[in-house]
Amino acid sequence: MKSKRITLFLILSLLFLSVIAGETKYKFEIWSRYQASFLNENEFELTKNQIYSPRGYFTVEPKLSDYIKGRFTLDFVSSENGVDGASVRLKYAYLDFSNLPIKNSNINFGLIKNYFGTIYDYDYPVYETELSDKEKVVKSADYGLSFNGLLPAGFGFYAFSVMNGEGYKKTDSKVDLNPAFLVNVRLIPITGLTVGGSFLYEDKTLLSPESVDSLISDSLRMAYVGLVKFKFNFLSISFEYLSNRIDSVFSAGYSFIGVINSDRLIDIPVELVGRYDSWDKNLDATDDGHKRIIAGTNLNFFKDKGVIMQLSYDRTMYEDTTKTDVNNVVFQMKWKFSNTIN
Amino acid sequence: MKKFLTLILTFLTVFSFVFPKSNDITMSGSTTVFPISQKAAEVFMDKNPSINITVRGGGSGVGISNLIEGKVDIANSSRKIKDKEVYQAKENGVNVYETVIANDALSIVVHPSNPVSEIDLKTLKNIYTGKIKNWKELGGNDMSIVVVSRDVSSGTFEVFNEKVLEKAKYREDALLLASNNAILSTVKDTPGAIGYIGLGFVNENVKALKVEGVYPSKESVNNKTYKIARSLYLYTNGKPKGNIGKFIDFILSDEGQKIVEEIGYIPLR
Repeated sequence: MKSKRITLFLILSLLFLSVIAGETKYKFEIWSRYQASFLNENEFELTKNQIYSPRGYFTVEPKLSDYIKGRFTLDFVSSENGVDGASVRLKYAYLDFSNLPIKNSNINFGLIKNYFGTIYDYDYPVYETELSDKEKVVKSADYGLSFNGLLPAGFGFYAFSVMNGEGYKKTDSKVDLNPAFLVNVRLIPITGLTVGGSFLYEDKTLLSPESVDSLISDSLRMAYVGLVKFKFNFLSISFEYLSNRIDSVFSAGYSFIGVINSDRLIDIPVELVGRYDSWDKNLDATDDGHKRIIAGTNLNFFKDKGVIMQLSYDRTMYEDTTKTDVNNVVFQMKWKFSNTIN
Repeated sequence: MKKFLTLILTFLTVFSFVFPKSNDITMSGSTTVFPISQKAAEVFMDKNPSINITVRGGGSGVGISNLIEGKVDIANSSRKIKDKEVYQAKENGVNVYETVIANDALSIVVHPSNPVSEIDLKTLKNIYTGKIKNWKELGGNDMSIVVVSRDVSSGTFEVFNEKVLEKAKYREDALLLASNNAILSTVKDTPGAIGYIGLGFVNENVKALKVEGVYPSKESVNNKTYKIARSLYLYTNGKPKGNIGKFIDFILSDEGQKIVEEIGYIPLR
């Protein structure tokens, strides 16, 4: 109930602020998807065959002054998890303060972006979420405070955050009181080459050790990610290594994504995408890992990527031989528009 | 994996022959720089019929964003690129290269019938932040001041915001317009209006004010007495080469700089 009140307060505050703001940016983005899932490519045993809208984002960004702006994003989800097949939840709701003593730095407060790995700027070259999101290591938004900014001469980016650590989906008694600490650094030593890493730490006995037994089973959590991205002309390659520890259970994996942007070579705005993921849920256990390959193509209808048609095939292969490989064919249309009202 | 890579390479090879990338030069961005780019492009294309140059506006922010995303070859800008944009460009594999092509005096313009003929920076700031609302406070007629400004994607807006407003908040009822021409037209038709435009857009339909006792001109910019002067830029991915390099060299040549002067801006030499 408490977090619902906080959410309601944030929504009303930002709606009010957007009304009084001098300049407000509105953005809307929606994905419509057809997905066919089948268990075995030979027998073609269909397990899913549906059209749905997995995401719809509505964002309002009121500029309250040159140094303070807000961001408020509603996430419309149409899935079997929602009530009557659909639900709405708050994704981001934060204030952004700039004009700090350190040049090009900002402080965000509220339901903020989680600056872990690539989750905060992943632009979905394929329909699937990025590795740390997909394997539920972190959530893309969380309640807390972040100090972030740019290094001089565009040499890199940094972020230090104190967050709830539970993500934006948990509410009420499921949310513990202990903070999670995040450090994220990205460096660009040469144009097109980005190296970086993030570290997330949460000790759930920090503030309320007496409640640990009754409320929380996992007391220590540490996650880190190392990443390398390379972008040159038509070629874009990224690799990330992800590790997660919850008490004595260690998980690890990696994700490789390659994109060929033909728009830089020929006058057809098509992207060819390949992705390979590997994830081991418990390094000490056997047969609990899986690998995933995704191959896809994106057709941009407009140069600003306002309408994108994505077609992809993916296959998840399990170490556990009793589990059948899962195949998906996904056709997705993504479209977005934005406007600024003064 | 080998089969997959072979397939992709075959696909790209076939398509690159069927739909070859054109040699056209594309530019977008500042509406202040637009007249220089457009005129220079016309003359350059006359001399080089095999090269086609497309020039679009949109504002400096839009042009730089287009360059970062690889949508254009040249970004026109009336302000310097920001650190945030340099970071985005580097991350995107774009090595931003800056070329100054001209200088400009940001000119403060009013309706020709307005008796006020000069202004200082502090008063200008007070007008744009709403502290001064009537021309009679400045010795003019008893008439409300209509504040006209460029919109936020404009480099001209950013230069004015930094040099005059010192990032103070604009009057809430300020009209934010998308181009120099729109400001020119509004000021021309509105007796109480005040606006700011690039020197190249000043004409007999509006009156340019002295700022701190100095008129905007080639001389006052070159001797640095005019307080709201700035440079105009072209940004490219790396040092310009090939046709792009030829075109930018043309703008920097004596002939190109003559075009800059004819349009009303201040040449580099």
